[in-house]
Amino acid sequence: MRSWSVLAILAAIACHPASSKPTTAPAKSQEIAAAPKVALERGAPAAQGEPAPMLVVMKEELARAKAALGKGDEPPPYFMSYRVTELDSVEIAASYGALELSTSDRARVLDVEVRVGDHQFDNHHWRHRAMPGWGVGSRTAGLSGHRIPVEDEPAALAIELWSATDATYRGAVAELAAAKTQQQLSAKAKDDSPDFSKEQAVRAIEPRVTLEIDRAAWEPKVRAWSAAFRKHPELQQTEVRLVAQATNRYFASTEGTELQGGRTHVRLMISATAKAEDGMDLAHAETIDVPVAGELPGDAEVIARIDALAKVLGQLREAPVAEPFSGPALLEGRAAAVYFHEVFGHRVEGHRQEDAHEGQTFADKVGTAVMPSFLHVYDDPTIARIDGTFLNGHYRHDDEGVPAMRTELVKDGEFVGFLMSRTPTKGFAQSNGHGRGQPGFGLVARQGNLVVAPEVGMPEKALTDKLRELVVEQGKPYGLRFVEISGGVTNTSRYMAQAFQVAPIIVFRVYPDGREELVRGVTLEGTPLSSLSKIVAASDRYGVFNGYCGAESGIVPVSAASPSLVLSQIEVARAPAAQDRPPLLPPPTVTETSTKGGGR
Amino acid sequence: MIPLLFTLALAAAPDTAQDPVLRAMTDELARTKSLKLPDSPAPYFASTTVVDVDQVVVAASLGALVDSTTNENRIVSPMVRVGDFQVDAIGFPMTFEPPLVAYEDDYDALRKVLWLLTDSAYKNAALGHRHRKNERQQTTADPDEADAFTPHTGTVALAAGATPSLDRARFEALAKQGSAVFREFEHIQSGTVEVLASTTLRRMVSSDGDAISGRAQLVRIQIRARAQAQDGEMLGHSAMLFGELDEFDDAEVIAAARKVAEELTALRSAPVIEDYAGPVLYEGEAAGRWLSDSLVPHLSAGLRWGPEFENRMGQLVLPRGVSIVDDPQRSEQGGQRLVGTMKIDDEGEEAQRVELVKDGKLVGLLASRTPSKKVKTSNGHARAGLPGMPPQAGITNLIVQSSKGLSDAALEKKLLELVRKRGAEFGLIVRATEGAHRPSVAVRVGKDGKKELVRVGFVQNVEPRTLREIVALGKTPVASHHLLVGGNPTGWHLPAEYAPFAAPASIVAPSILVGELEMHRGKGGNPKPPAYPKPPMPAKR
Repeated sequence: MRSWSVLAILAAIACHPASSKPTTAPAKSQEIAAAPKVALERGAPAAQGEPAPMLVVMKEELARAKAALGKGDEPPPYFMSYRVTELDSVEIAASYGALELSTSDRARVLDVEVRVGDHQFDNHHWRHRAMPGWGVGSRTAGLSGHRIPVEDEPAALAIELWSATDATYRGAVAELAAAKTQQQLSAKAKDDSPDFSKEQAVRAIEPRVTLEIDRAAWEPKVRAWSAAFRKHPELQQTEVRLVAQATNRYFASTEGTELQGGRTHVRLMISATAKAEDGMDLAHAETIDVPVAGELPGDAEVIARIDALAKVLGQLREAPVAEPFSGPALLEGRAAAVYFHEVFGHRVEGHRQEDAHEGQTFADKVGTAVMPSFLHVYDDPTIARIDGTFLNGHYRHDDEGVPAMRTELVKDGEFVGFLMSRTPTKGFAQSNGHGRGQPGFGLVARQGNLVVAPEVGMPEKALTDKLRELVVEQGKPYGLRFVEISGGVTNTSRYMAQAFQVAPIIVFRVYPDGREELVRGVTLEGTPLSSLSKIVAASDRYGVFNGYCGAESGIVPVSAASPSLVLSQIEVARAPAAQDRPPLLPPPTVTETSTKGGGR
Repeated sequence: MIPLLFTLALAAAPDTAQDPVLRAMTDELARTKSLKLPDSPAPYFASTTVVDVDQVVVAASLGALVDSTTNENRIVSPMVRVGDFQVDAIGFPMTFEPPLVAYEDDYDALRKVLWLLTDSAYKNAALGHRHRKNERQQTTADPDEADAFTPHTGTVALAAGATPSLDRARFEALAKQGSAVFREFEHIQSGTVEVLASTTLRRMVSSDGDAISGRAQLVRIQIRARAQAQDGEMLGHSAMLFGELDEFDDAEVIAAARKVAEELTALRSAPVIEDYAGPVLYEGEAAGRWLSDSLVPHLSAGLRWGPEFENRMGQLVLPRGVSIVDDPQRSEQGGQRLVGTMKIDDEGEEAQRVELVKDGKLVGLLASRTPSKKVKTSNGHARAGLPGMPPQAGITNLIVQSSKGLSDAALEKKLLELVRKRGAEFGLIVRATEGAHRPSVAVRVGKDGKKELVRVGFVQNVEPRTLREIVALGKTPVASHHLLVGGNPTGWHLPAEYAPFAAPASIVAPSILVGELEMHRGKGGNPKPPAYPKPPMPAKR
């Protein structure tokens, strides 16, 4: 019934930044230490397991299709793959001490890929290019997810594979014919990259993962946690939500790639909304991401976090509204990570460089400086934990069956590469294992774990001092400290992804004398990308953002990690004011302090 | 100006005290009278509806489970009216979709939700009321304008007992057993059985003093199959069963699936009738399904469907001899069970038997508390709608009879007479139809009386004036069962999310012979047969 917001997806992909001008690196003063120390834990390949019945059926049907298709006067497929995503999930939500939702779900989704033509020109040709006369390439043409049985009943599964393959093959043949016709109308493109890269076949059969969570045992916990909000009747909607999932993926292609494996993820979300006296809506959410439920914090810590969140919202209600401002800012680790994910990460997804509809921000930037020279940026999905923190963007093979690789994006401030799927772009012929998508969506290059790695970092305290120095230097009344850039209180879907919006939630004015003042209603403005060139210092500690990111290939799990950053200039505007009045009546008084729960 | 009517019936107090949900609803409703924006009056009426839903959705394909989920939900829908009984505006909360609220019985959690939603509903009503006022200042008054709402004395009627529980394992078995049938049929490419089972507990309190609760349960089984015809056309065929929780056993679902499979297999080689204009005989249940779209929407008072029927009160709308009543008090007719039975409607009014058509003439319409020009008072036919929709009048048990009914043989004879009169080669009998528009099992009858299964198109003319094309009715009444949302027949496909808001209704009607209907099929080429053969499909385990 619930769905993620389309707006959130737009926010993630629809920015059109101007070009950026790099500044020089900061002079190494004595307070700057060496590169921030960071402990990276990589996901070890699991032991080889037995192919599950699902994979066996996939291989058999793939072989049957390969042998049968293209025997007559129709073109044979040069590539076919099956991807089956099996999702087991439990979701429990409670508000004010009563359960709102408690469900378990199991679903299998089949995605079939059939390519006819050849690697240079195939039926996908126009999916990632602007089609002459149409303006926009049609990536969603790849939408092909089929719900198939969750039971290992070979005949019932085989018929689904057969019928989806037949339909996809028919579509591919028609699409290739149309693509060739279209090609005759098209002027020569400046990039004549092939449509599909050639990659090594991979075989990795890992044991399936299982969802180990006892709903009956977690319901009372979630219920009790949510009751902590009863102490805060001034808040409007409040919720505690636990989402646990085990995702197993099976992949087989006619190139010989065979994959089986999975991941588990447990997320606890605490969220609340409030309304300021002037009508402004305020929302704040906190998420805790761990691989298994056993790693969740205890009752005392969860309740402390709820109280802290309620306290911040209470303070935000009273806080002054931000004024339009241009000046120095400090982005704390997690906020900086979110910022990089949004303003940088999406623009270095390779397929965007070829689509004339896109900003193509970095299309011609390879080898040029885009950031100060003390910054490196890479994306490495093979990292499972950073400084002990779980990374949601970890995986070992992407959804096209290509091994995930550490991909350098910015080195010494220079832009050096793109995130690549098997769709090549000018100068980048191979995938680096970033072809990803939600089941049912066409695949494109997406971020996994984006890491901002400065060469030098200073203690957090010194970074605040640096901000105050800049305030004085620039003659500004104050600078801004961004603690939380977040969103997504309301955006949950059946697949439990939480879409993301760039919305600063917790922002302080920092005055030269060290005084701090919380403000509300801040929106980031101007040309965010140009601010990347205005990064002047970094801290020595990493902050991590774990989330689910929505774009044209749907919602995928992602992470970003960054130390806190100081920017010499950032622009903010006042958030559009809400007009609706606060509730006319005071909140009802809480009459019963404890909840028994369970009944209807 | 009508004085504010906030007189919560004292009789409700002892009962509601037992139930934290009713208590929260009543307590928060009592505060509604204090809602007041500076330039708008306080509400003159408010009601709160809370629907508790337990749902199981199970789907299986060819004997294997595809989906099996359970949901417990509580849907909260306050409604506020600002203005007076003559001119008012209705307000609902401004939410994109029903907000997720706690389903457990917690007084404080529910009051908090009601506080915010009722606030939003009042603000919308106040805004609407100001617009109405402005609008009326700009336009001339309609002397015949119907009132906005009718007064009512509070009803207290609380359901006893407990909500039955849903046996998910049983529904899984039904879906698997039913869909496994399709494995036996060589040409069937996909075959699914989807079971939706739900129980609901609906509570309503109003500022008129209503405190009502009622339980309902529903199982809907949809059976669907797909095959490619010999000429390449992709054919879908389906059946829908619905009734109460324990109504279906494996054998019944298996038999229904087998019927779908057999009919679909027969349709593969059935000839196609591209375009048809001529007489159509609706037999058995198909007659009720055709009426559910062609007649039922026009039987409710109010302007929802235009004044088509309202303006024809006292006039002939059906052939002489036809009588129609809607009788919510009956639970059986001629040995057939009726599912629309109710004592009080969703606005707390006593549900009355209403004469609608007498000897072919329109004599009455179904009404809720929302009056129309011709029908000034409720006759207890309000049926709750989706959240954010006021209740609307709708049918319960609609009984159609004809004093001049013909035997089956005489009806067929009459059909052939019409065929000959037109100089046509054949007529059509529709034996199953998905709503009025999509006949799914149709037979052509040649001048010589020879019958043959055919593939036909969509019915084009399903309008109230088509009812005047009815030539004759049969003798034997057959009950068909339907789901209504907000008084409207939902047709064949009701999404699972809407099922909790659907009210069951029965139509009892004999076969109906319509003088002329038009059917057309979409033009275009058919897909090729599969590029390679279907995998082998051994019988299940």
